[in-house]
Amino acid sequence: MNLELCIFTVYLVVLLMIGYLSSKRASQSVDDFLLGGRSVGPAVTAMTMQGTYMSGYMFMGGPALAYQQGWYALWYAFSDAGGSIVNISVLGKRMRRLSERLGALSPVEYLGKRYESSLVQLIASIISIVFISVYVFAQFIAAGKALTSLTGMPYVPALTVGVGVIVLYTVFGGYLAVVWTDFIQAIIMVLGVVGITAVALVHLGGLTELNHALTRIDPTYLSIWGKDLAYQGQWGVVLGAVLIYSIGYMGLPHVVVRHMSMQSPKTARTAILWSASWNQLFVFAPYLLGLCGIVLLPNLSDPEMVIPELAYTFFPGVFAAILLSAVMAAVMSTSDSLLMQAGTILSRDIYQRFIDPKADHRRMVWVSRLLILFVGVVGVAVAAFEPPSVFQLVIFGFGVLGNSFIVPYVASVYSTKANRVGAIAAMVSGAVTHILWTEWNFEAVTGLHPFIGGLVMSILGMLIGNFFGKVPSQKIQQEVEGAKKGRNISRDLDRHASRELAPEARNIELHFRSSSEVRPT
Amino acid sequence: MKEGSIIATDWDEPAMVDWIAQKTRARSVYVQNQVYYPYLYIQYRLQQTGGLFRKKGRIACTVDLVSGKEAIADTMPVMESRWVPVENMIQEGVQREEARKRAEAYVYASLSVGLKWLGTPTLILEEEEICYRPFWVMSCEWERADPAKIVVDAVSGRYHPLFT
Repeated sequence: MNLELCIFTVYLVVLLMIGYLSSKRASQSVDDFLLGGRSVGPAVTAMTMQGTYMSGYMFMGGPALAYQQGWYALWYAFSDAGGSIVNISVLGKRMRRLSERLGALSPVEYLGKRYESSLVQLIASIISIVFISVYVFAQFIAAGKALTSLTGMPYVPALTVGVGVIVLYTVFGGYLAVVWTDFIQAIIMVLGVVGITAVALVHLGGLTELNHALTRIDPTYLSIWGKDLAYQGQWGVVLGAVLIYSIGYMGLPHVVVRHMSMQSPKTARTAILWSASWNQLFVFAPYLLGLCGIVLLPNLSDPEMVIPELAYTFFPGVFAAILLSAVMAAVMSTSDSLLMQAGTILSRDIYQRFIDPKADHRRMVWVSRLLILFVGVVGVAVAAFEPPSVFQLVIFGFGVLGNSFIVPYVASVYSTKANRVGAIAAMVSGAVTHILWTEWNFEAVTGLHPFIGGLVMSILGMLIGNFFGKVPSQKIQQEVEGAKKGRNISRDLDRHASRELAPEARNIELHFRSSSEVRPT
Repeated sequence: MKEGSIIATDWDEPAMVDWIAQKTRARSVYVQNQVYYPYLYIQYRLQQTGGLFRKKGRIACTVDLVSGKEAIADTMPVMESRWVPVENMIQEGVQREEARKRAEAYVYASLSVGLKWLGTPTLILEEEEICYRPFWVMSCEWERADPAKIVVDAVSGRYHPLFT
C-alpha cells in the first residue's frame, strides 16, 4: 500500500471510530439522534456549518470555475465569505426562539407549525428531499474523482467505495457524530487547502507574478466579467453569483437545523465570530488554486481535477494525501449531514405525519435509513452514468433550495401576517422559476442569474399569496412577536439555563397566564 | 387540596435560593410560587431476543403529561404521598393511555438508536405511576440586566427562564 493510501485509510478509520463512539453517546433520546440534543456550542456550530457547506464543490467546482473563467469566479468567493454571517445573524436567534416556542424538531416541521399547514409541510418535505439529493449526487461525483486520483482505481469502483463509506457512516452514526466529525474535518480542510495554496503561490513567485503570468496567457482572465468578457455588463448574472451564497445560505434546510442545535440563542452571537474567522481562512484559497492551475496545468482535460493534479504534479506525496483526505472529508461531512436531513424529513415530516401517524419510533428510524440507502444507490447510478459537473449540480441544487425556502423562513420570523398560502406560493414559484430559468437558459436572454429570477418570483408569491390566505391565528402571531423580542438577559442566567426544561417552562407560564398572575407566597 | 405522589427532593427553599443566586450571580432571588408538574413514570425490563451484544437490565422513561415530551429516566425517583393545593398542580393534557404508548415508542427508539444494527430487545412493563415533580417559580434581579422569572426544578436544581 502506498503512503498516500495509508494516510487516507488511517484518516477514514479514525473518522469512523469517532462516528461510532459518538453514536453510542447519542443513545439518550431520539432528540439526540435528530438534533444532537441541541447541545453543541458556538465554535462547533459555526465550524460544522462551514464544514457542511464547504463541500466537494469547493475542492472541485470552485477551482474549475476559476480555471475556466479567471478572476470572475471570485464573485462566488465574495458571496461565500459573507454567507455564514448573513445566515446566522438574520435567522439564527429568532428561529431558535420560535422553534422552541413551537416545539418543532426539524426545519420542515417548523414551517408546518409556523404556517399552521400540513400542505406547507408536505411541499417543503418533497422539495427538500429531491434537491438535497441533487446536492448529495454532486458530492458523490467529487468523492469518486478524489478516490480515483488518490488510489489510481477506475472511477466507477472508486465511486462505489466512496459512496459506501459515506452511507455506512451516516446510517451507523447520529447527528452528534456528524457534528463532531464535521468539526475535526473542518480543521483539516483549512490546513490542507491553505497549505497547498501557500506552496503554489511561492512556486509561482507570489500573487503579482501569478497575475503577470495570467496576463501573458490571456488578459481577460483578470477581468471581473469572465474569460473573453463573456458576462460583460450582465449585472444580473453577477448579482446572482453574489446572492446565491450570501442569501441562498439561509434557504438550506440542513444549515438551518444546526441553528436549533445551539445551547441558547445567545450563542449565535459568538458563532458569527467563529464562522467569519474560519470562512476568511478558507474561502478564497480553492479559487486561487484554480487560477494557479491556469498557469501550471495549461493542458488539463478535466478542470475539476485542478487541485488533485496540482497536488500530484508539484508537491510531495504526503501533501497530496492530506489534501485529498481533506477533499474526502469535505464530501463526507456534506453528504452525511444532507442524508441525515433527508432521512429525518422523510421519517418525521412525511411518513409519520401523512402515511402512518401511529408508526413507532423504531419504524421511523428504519424509514430514515432506507431513504439514505436509496439515495446512495440512485446517487451511484447518476454519478456513474452521464455525470454532470460538480459545479452545475451544486449551483442548481443550492439555487432551488435557496429559492424555495429563503422567503418562507425569513417571513416566518419577521412577519406576523405571513400565512400558509403565501408560504406555498413562495416555495412553489421560487423552485419552479429556478428550474425553468435554468432548463430554458433564460439567463442568456435576460442577463439575469436563475437565482435572481427565483428570488423575485418567490417574494412576489409570498406577497400575493398573503392576500388570499387566512391571517395566522392569534397564538402564532403572539409567538412570532415573542420570538422577535431580544431581552437583556443576564449572561450568567443564560449560560447555565437547562434547555431541556423549555417545555416545562412554557407550560408553567401558560398555567399562570390562564389562571392569574404569579402570586408571591 | 389534592393528594398526589410527589417526587422527593433534598433541597429546601433557602438552599435552592442560595444555589440559584450563586449560579446566576443575581443580586436578589426570591421565590414567587411552587408548582407541581405531572409526569407518567414507567419502567421496563429488557428481554433480549437476539443480537450480537445482548443487553440486560431495566430502562425507565418519563412522559410529561402536559406536552407529551418523553425522556429517559436515569434512576427510580423516590416518591412521597402528600396533599398539595390543587391550584398549584399543572393541569394534565395527555391521557395516561396515550402517554404509555409514547413511552414505549420512545424507549424502543432510544434503544434502536443506541444499539444500531444489533437489534432492539423486547420490553416488559414492570412499573407505572403518575407522579408530580415540584418546581419553584423564582424572580431574579441583576445590576446590569433585565429582571427575569425562572422555573427551577426542585429535584435537580436545573432551571429555565420563563419566556416573557
